[in-house]
Amino acid sequence: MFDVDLIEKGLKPMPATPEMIAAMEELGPGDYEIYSEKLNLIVEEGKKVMTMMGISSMLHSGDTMAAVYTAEGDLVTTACGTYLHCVTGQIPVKFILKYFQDDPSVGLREGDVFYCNEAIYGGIHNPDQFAIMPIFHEGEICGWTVVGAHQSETGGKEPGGEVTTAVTRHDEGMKLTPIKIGENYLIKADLLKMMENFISRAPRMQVTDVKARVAACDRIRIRMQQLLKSKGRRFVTGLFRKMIKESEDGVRKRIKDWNDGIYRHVVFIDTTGAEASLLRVPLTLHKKGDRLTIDFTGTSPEHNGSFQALAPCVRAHCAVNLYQSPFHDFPISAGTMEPIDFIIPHGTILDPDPEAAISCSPTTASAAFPLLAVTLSKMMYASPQRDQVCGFCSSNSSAPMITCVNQHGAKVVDFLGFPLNAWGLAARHDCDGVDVFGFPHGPWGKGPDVEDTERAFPLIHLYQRGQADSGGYGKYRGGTGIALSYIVHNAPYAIFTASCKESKFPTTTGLFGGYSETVVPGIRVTGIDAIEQMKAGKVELPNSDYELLTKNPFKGKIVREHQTRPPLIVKKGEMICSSTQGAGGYGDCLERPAESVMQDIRQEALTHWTARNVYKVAYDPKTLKVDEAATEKLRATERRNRLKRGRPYHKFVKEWSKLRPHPQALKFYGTWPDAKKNREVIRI
Amino acid sequence: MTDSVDITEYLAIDLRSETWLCRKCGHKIGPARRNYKEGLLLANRDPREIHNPVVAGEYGFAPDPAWCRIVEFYCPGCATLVENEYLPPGHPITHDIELDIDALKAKYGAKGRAAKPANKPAAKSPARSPGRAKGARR
Repeated sequence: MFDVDLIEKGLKPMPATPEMIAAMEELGPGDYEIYSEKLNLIVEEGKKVMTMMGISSMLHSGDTMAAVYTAEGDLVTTACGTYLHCVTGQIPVKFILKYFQDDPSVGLREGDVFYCNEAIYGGIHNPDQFAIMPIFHEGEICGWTVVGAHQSETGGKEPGGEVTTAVTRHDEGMKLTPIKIGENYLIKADLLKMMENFISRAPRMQVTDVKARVAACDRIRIRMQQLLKSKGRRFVTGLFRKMIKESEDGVRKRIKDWNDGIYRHVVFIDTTGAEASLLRVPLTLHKKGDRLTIDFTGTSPEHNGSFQALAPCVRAHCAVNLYQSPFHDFPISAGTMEPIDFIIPHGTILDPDPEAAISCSPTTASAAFPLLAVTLSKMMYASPQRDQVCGFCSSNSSAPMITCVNQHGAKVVDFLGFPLNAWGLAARHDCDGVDVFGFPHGPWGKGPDVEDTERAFPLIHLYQRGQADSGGYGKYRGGTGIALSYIVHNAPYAIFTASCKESKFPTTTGLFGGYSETVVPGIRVTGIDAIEQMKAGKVELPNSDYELLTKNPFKGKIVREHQTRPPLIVKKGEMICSSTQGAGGYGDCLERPAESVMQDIRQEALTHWTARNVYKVAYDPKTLKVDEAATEKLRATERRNRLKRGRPYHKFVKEWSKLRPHPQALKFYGTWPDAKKNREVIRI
Repeated sequence: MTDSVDITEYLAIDLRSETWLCRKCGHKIGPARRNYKEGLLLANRDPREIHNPVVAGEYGFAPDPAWCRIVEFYCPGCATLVENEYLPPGHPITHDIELDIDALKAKYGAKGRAAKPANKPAAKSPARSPGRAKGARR
């Protein structure tokens, strides 16, 4: 049904033909600099058209992209959004060229519009929908444009698009292979109707946002045809190739500068989506000469839950890290991926059978973020790219999806965009991380204002603010996440779902002795009408999850659970929290100046508990005046304690290797400790 | 440490003796061709000692200690926390940095040198497009 070879190789550029090389060499002085920026402006305009026309929150919050591709389907440049979609956008284009171009029942003509959201054709998961248009000039295909955005409803067995209880792909709703939905610049009403029927929980959003994607494609098509008319096909071909070659040459040179060797890291996901269990994801990064190999051998076997991702999705998540960090200053083109190879073992949670449920794939594949961040950081520290050493943004994907008839009477299914854009960024080698940094899949995300959210959904925010202690501790501390609590208001109920991979085990680790982010529980308060209680003025309002849990000011039933949530009905006046994590710290926390720790307390990024117990600072808790001498004594004592409790490696390993995690933690892990397949997965 | 190359915040390699060194105190940690962690002191920490759970029981704000432990690695010379790992209890320790020492010596020469200071790239990126400057928002 699908083309494995095309999917595996589709991220790399096609070899340059002599004609492409000649066209590139004909570019005059300044042509590359001027017209590469012209292309950047064209895709930026396309993205803006989509954002202004579309309505779903993810389309506004940053899970988007608009890009231009060569006639062969290689990425030339993009406006993000997220890098995910610009690299996966190549595969459906190459699929159309290979299978439909010469098929008389489909064909390829000027004015055609294609559309798809099927992950096994190279995508991420089916909430990510793409419009695709060829760019013709004088009867020949000269390029392509693809515009994509996440849409939070797919018609699956659960609302929200990320179906946490899915067992197979058949539970996940609409999955369109690349199909032609428009000819002669007209979208076919019958196919729009078909989509509307699939997405009956939010039909208005589906139809409007399909049109927004297509309109953005068409704007890019128009601008590209204007460029082709003024500069000619050969010029544009040369420009495209130059942008790809500049990335490839620059990436190769940079990789060559790094120390040859093998770098390893391992992280753990703590749920299958349906059931808590550890799943292992290790990464071995091989660096030799000017090439990198990213090897996920040792990953836990596939299972019947929803927390797994197809290999193209994993490669795309690696691309997010690579484009965003070590190669951030090169054109975002297919050339970046040429010197990079992948080993992703089939039958694991990173490449399960195509029948598997994968709609929560970003939650799973984003394990690649800390894996690559740590291994690349350990490679780049001894290089001119030391300023890129960073544990990356946390990414547990805890943002909830809401389903309801809102206060305006409209059927709504959507992501709550703010928490999705409110994760911490890890500390770096010379500075603290960034509090409430943003969206890990791309730095362009935009969290909606409280007022925007309350206008669109029947919710009131009890609090939305930085969460103390959520970032990792260290010489430089990781940025914090947020504490966020919603009360359902002006509707009898709303339904929430969420996917998250780390309520028991943190995934975004620190660097060089810096501690990890903390974990965050799912919290609900039921059996109350908080609005009525607040109207009565008798409640001392909490300002964080910590106060909500320890004081229970509304006297309701407090439920603590994994942040991965199957559909939950939250009634009017009840509350649900959706707090996010900070990111990893950097270096030994005993090296953090005591005064900086006090500043963290003043900024409410840290609690007194942590200042005393972890940073070992002596101070007056009322004035926050530091006692430097007493602090030095505390820290000297802690260093002595470290030497007392520390054991030599082999002695430690002898005792350590006898330990085992809780049996539930190993239920879907695979064999212990090497995570090999130990059960058959039967999907019906 | 003119004969050494800085590898991490707290670790360097002396190229002449092929030895891992602590950058804080100069302690000789072990052979550069082996896992540096073999020369450190290790401790198994309950994550609740580092991350305040706030509330007792399952699903608090600290990792579950039956699922997750923090393995800390200390320099035996100065007790610096060189590295840590969050692992399920009993999971093998990660050999995280395995450098090609011969390539390293060939690259830096017999004498070695500290890594270039951060934020001063040795070579200008050949490929930056004018509108894609570092930090520019798209």
